[in-house]
Amino acid sequence: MEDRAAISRLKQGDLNGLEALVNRYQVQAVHAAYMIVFDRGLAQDVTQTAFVKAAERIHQFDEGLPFGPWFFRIVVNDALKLAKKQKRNVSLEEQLDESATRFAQWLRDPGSQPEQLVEQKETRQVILQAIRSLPPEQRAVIVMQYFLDMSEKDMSEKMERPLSTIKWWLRDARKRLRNLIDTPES
Amino acid sequence: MDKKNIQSILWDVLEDEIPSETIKLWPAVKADLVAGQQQGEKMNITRERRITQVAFGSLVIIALLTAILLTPPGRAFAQNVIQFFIRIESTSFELTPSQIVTEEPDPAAPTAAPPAPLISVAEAEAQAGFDAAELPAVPEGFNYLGARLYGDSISIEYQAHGYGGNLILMQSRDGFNQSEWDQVPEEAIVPVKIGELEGEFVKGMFVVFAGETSAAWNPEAPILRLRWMKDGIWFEMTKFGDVDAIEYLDQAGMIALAESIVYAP
Repeated sequence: MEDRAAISRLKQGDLNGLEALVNRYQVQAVHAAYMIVFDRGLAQDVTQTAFVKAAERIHQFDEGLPFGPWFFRIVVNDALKLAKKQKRNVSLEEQLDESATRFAQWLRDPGSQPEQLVEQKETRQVILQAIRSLPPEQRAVIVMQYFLDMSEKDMSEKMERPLSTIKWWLRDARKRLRNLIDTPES
Repeated sequence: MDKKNIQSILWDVLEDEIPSETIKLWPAVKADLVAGQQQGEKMNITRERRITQVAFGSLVIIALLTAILLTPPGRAFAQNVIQFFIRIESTSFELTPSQIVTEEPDPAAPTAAPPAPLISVAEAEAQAGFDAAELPAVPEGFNYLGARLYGDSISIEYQAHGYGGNLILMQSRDGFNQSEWDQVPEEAIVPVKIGELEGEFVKGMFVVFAGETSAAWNPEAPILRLRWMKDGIWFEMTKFGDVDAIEYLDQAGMIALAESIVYAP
């Protein structure tokens, strides 16, 4: 069932429409939420709640627009609120352990191949650890940029922050992450 | 590494953490939709207290809501959530045994749950995480009481001069709490315009008399409710009671108040 048909059915009270949307977006949504809250159970809770909210607000949704960005804004917003409450963010310096430093060195080594490196479970954990070390807002903009393909302007609207703040967050986040995965600024 | 590489790496990392095949949310989402009905109990408990305050005599209102309410099928819920008030075809609904009241209520008896403490609007905003809209001035016939926080919903409250009535402006980013006590017969719902915004107005509510086994819609109950949405915030303005000081405030008056709300009075 296409999104538009699913939304139309949901607006008429047909839960099969919502089920189709859940099946289509649940994986990406849980992964995005996890990137922000770093707790599998909470990520699933946030996503469940976001689907319920989407159902409640579906009459507000313009069927001429894509459902995904509208829905993921709910997910990111709720995950961010939760993350702020948890105050789980700790400084990068506290989180960067020896393996993280080693990974960064591997990536800077011209002979190394990052795609192979990230296949190693340990390395993947280092990447997650690095992202986890960022403040919640910066984790959110990472998700919005790399997961949801949102523009900085969209992020500014979503986060209700000036564009300059978003740019600063992204720049700072990239700078921090670059220490690990050698990401050039775009 | 370019953006696509990073995206690919992140996907792989997260797939490793939470494999796609383990994510099956539909049963839980469906259950959440039904549970949403129960969430509505909290607001109704506070409404019950106010109804007691305005001395409805033998009316026994929402004290019964501490009991778990029967929830209608999820399909019906989904049909109703696209409107401000839940529609009901009948003007009554059956109570569960635990909801039936056998004695007249003691007006002095404590209600099922005390209301949240009064705080300043600024405190409520800080805790709820959004700016609350306020009336630009205290409406005629009322005194300003303060704000209360129910979950992430902010309630700004006024009390009628000499007691016997209240005006409450509730606002939330997460929609209205809904339960079967919030149901409204279709014919009691009046579509209205708040400026350019769509809204719905209702007078009356479901009440329970001692010994009755069903709740009955009382269209004359002096409870006026106005619901609308603005800038992503769900609003409900409710007037309880009809004492002399606030008798003037009718449907048109409430709409005028709703149109006057501001974010920096």
